[in-house]
Amino acid sequence: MTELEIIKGCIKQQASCQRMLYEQYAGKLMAVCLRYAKDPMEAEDMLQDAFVRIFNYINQFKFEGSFEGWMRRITVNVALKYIQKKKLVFSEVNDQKESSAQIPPTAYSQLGEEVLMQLIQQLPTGYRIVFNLNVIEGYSHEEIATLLNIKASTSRSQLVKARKILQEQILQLQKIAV
Amino acid sequence: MTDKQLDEFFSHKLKNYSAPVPPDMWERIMAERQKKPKAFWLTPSQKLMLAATFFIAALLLGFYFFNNTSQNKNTIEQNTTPAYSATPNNGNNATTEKDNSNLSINKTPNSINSSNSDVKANSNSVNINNIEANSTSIISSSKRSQTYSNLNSLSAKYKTVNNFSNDGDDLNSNNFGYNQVNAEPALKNSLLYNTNSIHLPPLNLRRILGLDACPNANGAQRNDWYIELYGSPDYTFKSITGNGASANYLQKKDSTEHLRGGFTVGARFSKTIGEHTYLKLGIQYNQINELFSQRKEDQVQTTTVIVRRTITTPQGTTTTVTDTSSVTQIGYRVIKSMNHYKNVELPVMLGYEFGMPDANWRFTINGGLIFGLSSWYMGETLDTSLQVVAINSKSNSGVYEHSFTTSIYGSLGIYRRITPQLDVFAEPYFRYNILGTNSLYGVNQRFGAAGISLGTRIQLNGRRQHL
Repeated sequence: MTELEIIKGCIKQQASCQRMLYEQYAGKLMAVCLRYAKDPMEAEDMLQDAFVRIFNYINQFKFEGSFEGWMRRITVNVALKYIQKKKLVFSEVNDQKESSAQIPPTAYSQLGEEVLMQLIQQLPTGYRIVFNLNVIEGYSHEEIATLLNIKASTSRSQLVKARKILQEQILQLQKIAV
Repeated sequence: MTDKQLDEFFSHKLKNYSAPVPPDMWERIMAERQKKPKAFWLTPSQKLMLAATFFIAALLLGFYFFNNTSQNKNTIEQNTTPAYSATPNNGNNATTEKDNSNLSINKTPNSINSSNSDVKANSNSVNINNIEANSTSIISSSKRSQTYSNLNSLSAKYKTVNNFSNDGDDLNSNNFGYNQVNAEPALKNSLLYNTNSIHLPPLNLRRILGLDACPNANGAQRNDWYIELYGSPDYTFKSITGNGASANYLQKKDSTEHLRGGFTVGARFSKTIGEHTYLKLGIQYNQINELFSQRKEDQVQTTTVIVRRTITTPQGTTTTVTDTSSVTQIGYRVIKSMNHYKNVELPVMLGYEFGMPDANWRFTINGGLIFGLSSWYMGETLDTSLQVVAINSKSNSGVYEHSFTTSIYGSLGIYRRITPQLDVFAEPYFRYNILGTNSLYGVNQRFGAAGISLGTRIQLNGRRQHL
């Protein structure tokens, strides 16, 4: 069954197509949620809400562009709603203190996806959100500013600090590995 | 590692990363979907049934009012004032009464006085049917020979009954007039005037609505039915309030959506309830148009230019030379489309008519509610990531959550009589959503409109107007 057929089946609310769609994309969207959530429990709630919305609003998909991109956007929106409920504050943090990542020694030699996920999850919330939106999702700082109701300059500074922390962590890991 | 390298490293590694999903996630999603509240959200077929039910109920109600009002013209008017019962002085208690308040005397008519001749003339024509038709429990005498009922007709349609018994000779009908009851102490004593019997009248919806109003100088009460057909160009406006959306998003949404007016067409039944008051109920279609325009910056457009030249050499040979170049333009592009908000609505309102009696010009002040029955939204809007998304929806799964939107309505109608049965009217009005529509992106949107309805009013029955 092609992706197009699955989408059309989902628009008709066919359970078998919905299940196929879920099987195909649940893992990827779970990864998106994990990058934004503070813990796996919250990520699961986000994923659940995201799929409910995807199934409810799939008739909104205009068959223009990537369907996966459309689903990712919904998932990101859901994740941001969760975060905004908690009154996200973009505050400055002590870089040195925040850069003390606890990475298992076995992961030093290879910076696999799981390790990178851990590094991102350990970032302060504001840094994490901006880094995810800009680097992984590809949003511009102006778009992030609109989404998060902050200034574009704040987004830029948060990204710079996020990068700095990540670079330090990776450097530290490499030193330990050597 | 440079910033760019770091970004690419993370992006490349995590873009398609797939994380393990809890095994019960699918069941949780399905359970959540089934748990979604269905309150107020109706399927199109349910909305159609609801509209049909409203319509049939309105027809039945109208039929009931019309029938009852017609029948009531031949019955005795029920009295809501304290009731008096009269018994004869001679103690011949031929009139049997079940209730102290059984005999009704209407205060309103001034000429209840009846002469002997009237009574005698009517003595053999007891109209029991009329009495029994009254909603109060009037029980007439079982002995016809000893009981006279004077059905003194005040008008063709309004009658007052005096029940009394007598020996047939010394009948003085003046004693039984309402005014005399108050004037004659002796007779007053003989009346079973029981203050305990002064009850509050039962709730009479027909009277409250003016259906049982007394006739005025023009004749009987109005029982007129009209149908009004109208159409209106609308000047529309809307207000947007955040319901979780950021201020930037609201500003962006506001700057991309520009209302472009609308229109309303409909039909409504209009029924007089009293001399000046109308109940109006109908169905109408309303459409609001909106221009969606988004300006996209940094748009790059590349145009390929091909120039062909023919060169003739001194030797006489001809060569065609093709130059290909490209022109790159950087600028902005404005994307435009029209949004349509379509609604089927049920207007319910009360109107008060005034103006000179039988004049060619009449005026009404109307107020009421307009209930949304169904809606279709078509077009485009921005989502929270400022991407253009379709708002096409016919159910509750669109960008805007559909609900029973309700508007308040106020208008001033100006009617010009063309024929006794036909008026034309112009009705400036104002309406505003008291219940807005919630958007998926945390926005509450309320529409308002001002316009002027132009239409005709056709009288279906009732008292004809005179030119």
